[in-house]
Amino acid sequence: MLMTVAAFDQTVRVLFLDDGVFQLKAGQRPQVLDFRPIAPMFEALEIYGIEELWVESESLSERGLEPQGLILPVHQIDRREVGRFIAAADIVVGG
Amino acid sequence: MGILHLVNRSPHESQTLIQCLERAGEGDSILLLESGVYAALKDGVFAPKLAEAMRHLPVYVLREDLEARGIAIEEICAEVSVTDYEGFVDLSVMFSPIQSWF
Amino acid sequence: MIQINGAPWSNEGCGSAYQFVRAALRKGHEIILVFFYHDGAYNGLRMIPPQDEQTLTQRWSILAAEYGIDLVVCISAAHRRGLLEEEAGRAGPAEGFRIAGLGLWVDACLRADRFLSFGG
Repeated sequence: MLMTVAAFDQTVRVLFLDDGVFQLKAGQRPQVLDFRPIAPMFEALEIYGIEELWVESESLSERGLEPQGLILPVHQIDRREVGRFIAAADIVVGG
Repeated sequence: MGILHLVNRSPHESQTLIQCLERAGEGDSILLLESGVYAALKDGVFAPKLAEAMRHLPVYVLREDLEARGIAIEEICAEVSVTDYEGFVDLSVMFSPIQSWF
Repeated sequence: MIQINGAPWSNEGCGSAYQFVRAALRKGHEIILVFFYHDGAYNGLRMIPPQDEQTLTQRWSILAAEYGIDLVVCISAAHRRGLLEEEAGRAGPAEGFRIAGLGLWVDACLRADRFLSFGG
């Protein structure tokens, strides 16, 4: 979905909240359970012009994660700023 | 324009109400629907949390979902505004964007 | 612009979306697109209806006939769920539904004033 939107020349920002931040954790090997790795998909986002990956700082710290432990460089945002961040969007595709 | 937050899961089995309350800001509004309406029960454990949130932002609850669950208006927090699907449509015009917390 | 993510028999959001769309149409608003994504694809299936009640799929079909709204099942969601195979008596989309891709979804998002998603 992200890639389709980007193909239409729209600005796309991806914000990882709560357990969503676990998706970016480095060292995942879903192959041991016969699942496909998702890291290549996130890495491909840049090719599609989606460069704005954001994580909420509190979501990271509450889970004992650090930005260095993620598969990609991300922007960080504080919880109290998240509301304004979301409000700035025309469309929010969450969940 | 503020955000309209849609919370459709029971706070007793999902974190989405709390997740929403922690991010909702000035000028936003929350609509409780489906099992999300359980949060509005005035004798329930989430009533104080909701009351605190309502100091900053209005909370609405969907009448149809209350009725379907056998919840009477007297059983919900007095500060919560009861609305119906027509009111839901009006809210979606008044606010933008609309964020569903799944 | 409405997106529905859940299956009709297990997710209440499908009913909520229907109630919302009906109320919006009655108030004179335009619904550009209802997009059935993920398990939402099951909503647009031609199914054997139970004798004693109207299914949500039937109600969507009636709403589409009455208001001319565009009910679109995501092609990749439907394909993943084996809903596009012609054998085994599966006859494709239900009355008033059509199958299309995400391009339509983006286009509707860009044209619509509001985007709501149900059924998560």
